Amino acid sequence: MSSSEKELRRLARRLLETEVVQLVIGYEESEVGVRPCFIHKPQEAERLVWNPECRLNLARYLRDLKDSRVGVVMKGCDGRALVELIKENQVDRRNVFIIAVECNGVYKPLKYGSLRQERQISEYCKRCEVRLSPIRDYVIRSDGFAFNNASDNDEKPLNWLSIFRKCLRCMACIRSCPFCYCTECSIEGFKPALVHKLVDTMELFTFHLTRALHIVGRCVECGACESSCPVEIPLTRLYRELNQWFKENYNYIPGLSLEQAPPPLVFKERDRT
Amino acid sequence: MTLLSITDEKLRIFVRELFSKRVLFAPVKRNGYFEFSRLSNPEDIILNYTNTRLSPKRLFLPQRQLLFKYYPKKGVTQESEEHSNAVLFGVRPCDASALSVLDSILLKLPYKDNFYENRRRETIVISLSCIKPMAECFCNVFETGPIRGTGEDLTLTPVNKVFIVEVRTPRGMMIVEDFGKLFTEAGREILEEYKILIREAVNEMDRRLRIDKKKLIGLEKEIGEEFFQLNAQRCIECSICSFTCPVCYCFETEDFLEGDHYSRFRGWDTCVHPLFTKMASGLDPRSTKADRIYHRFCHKLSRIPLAFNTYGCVGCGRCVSLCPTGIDIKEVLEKWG
Ligand code: SF4
Ligand code: SF4
Ligand code: SF4
Ligand code: SF4
Ligand code: SF4
Repeated sequence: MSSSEKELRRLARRLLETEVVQLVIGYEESEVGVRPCFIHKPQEAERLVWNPECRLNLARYLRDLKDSRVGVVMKGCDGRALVELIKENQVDRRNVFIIAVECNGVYKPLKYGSLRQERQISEYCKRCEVRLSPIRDYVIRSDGFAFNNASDNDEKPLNWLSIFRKCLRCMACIRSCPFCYCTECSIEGFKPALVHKLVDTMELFTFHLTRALHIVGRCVECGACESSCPVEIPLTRLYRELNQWFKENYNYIPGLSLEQAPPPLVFKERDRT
Repeated sequence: MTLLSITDEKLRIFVRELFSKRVLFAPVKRNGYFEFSRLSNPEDIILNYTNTRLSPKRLFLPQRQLLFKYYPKKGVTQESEEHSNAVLFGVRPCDASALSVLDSILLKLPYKDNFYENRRRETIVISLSCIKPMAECFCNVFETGPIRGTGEDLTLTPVNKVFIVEVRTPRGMMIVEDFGKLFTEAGREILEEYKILIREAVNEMDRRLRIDKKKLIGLEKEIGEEFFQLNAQRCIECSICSFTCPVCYCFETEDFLEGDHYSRFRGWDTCVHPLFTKMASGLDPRSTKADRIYHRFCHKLSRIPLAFNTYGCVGCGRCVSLCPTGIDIKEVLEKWG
């Protein structure tokens, strides 16, 4: 067990014993790999782990826990997502105790029937510049693992049309994203049916462009969508391009501070309608 | 059943011959994982693969499928399906067995699925036994692998540089007769090795997970509320577990106006989706995530067995490996099996 893991468990235990929080959300190791876990009792804190398999962005769970005080393990990108969720009134800052863990990148998942056998740092982590959550109540420094920052990003243009044809429409990208919280998703809705589910593969393009437009300027490139995707669609590549366009036009990078207002939420007279 | 053998070289000829006569679907390397694909070159085929990321059920129950068109003047017309006369080559035993599970369910009268039946009838299935099961696999539990499945026409098992060919159906017999000169009768020594291989492969997997699957019939009553609450907390309600499952067969339909006619499509749907049981009135008999997870496990492990006398899981391990939140059907088996 690494010393950061030890510190994490000790902290979680204290938080629950002293009733600062009622629940700690973190990651645990199971037979099938690392997965999110919900710790209610101090003695269960021993289940917590922290390593480069801790992929899923836990901020998505905080939206449903509006009335309880929750401690949550946050990587840099997770914390950035939380910043935006707080500004969008989806999470109350006062209810969350942020355990910020210093992140050195997470591994690409090795899934069923993969051609690759060796572990690799995710592409989106190589692009990341924020390793520690911008908002935090406690900081845990990492010691156990490190990766070299040498970016071997393959930035050649992608043929999105053929890539999206692989999509199963399983919705895992939407369901794992902290920002997809609409109670009636426009992609899934029936009244009206904007994106047809079964009609043809071009609808998949509409699906993905709609989603991209709904999260541009909000997406923190945490990669939860991409790492959940069963057919390995490099979604963050698309969102990153849109985010860069957003930054050039609106001078805004999502998730860096609680003070800076997100452009989509602000009305300016010079905005075109 | 008849046991034959074929050498590696002759197997290649067999594949080329099949390719020249039929539409051939076989495992290839693509997009970073193995997948079943319609071959354009028989040399692309991979025989030492683990298993395909997506199950071959999509060839029988496509992700989206046109059922019929309706013209106000002409009435209903049905399109003929493109890949008739296909062969699915090298499918893993678990996935082949999933087809026999689907047969028990979808071909049962009075609600026979004609679209499925047509594709099933048109497609020869040749399976390839697993010598090295993956960590996720638990086909031993349902006796759907690792050597021999239940839904295939021919079973190929690599044994000591040749392949043992087991003929499983009359259709399988016909193919073997068509290519008679490629196959030879399996010698006694090699059959001995084959038997040992089967025994060892199963023993090896039994050491990892072994249960009494008959007990699962009582799952609905015995399974505790707490287990589902714990899993429901984690589940993000994507549809990965069912869309990648070789057995899950639920579908929905959609009508679409195209110029002068309506088209009716059908495609995958799943019980883990929050809208699956929601009715127009707003009533929802499975309204919570825990209800839906409970249903998924019980349907596979006790309701399908009660209604169709077969299990709704073949132990391929896809849902276990691909679930983004680590929800694991093996935990149910370990606890209640
Ligand atoms: S997770 Fe991947 S396959 Fe699923 S809907 Fe999103 S892009 Fe498509
Ligand atoms: S779109 Fe993907 S990368 Fe962006 S915030 Fe959502 S889950 Fe993270
Ligand atoms: S794949 Fe996992 S998270 Fe997704 S619906 Fe199934 S059980 Fe839930
Ligand atoms: S339930 Fe899971 S392990 Fe069982 S057949 Fe379906 S995908 Fe495979
Ligand atoms: S579950 Fe069994 S049959 Fe399927 S791939 Fe694994 S070992 Fe082979």
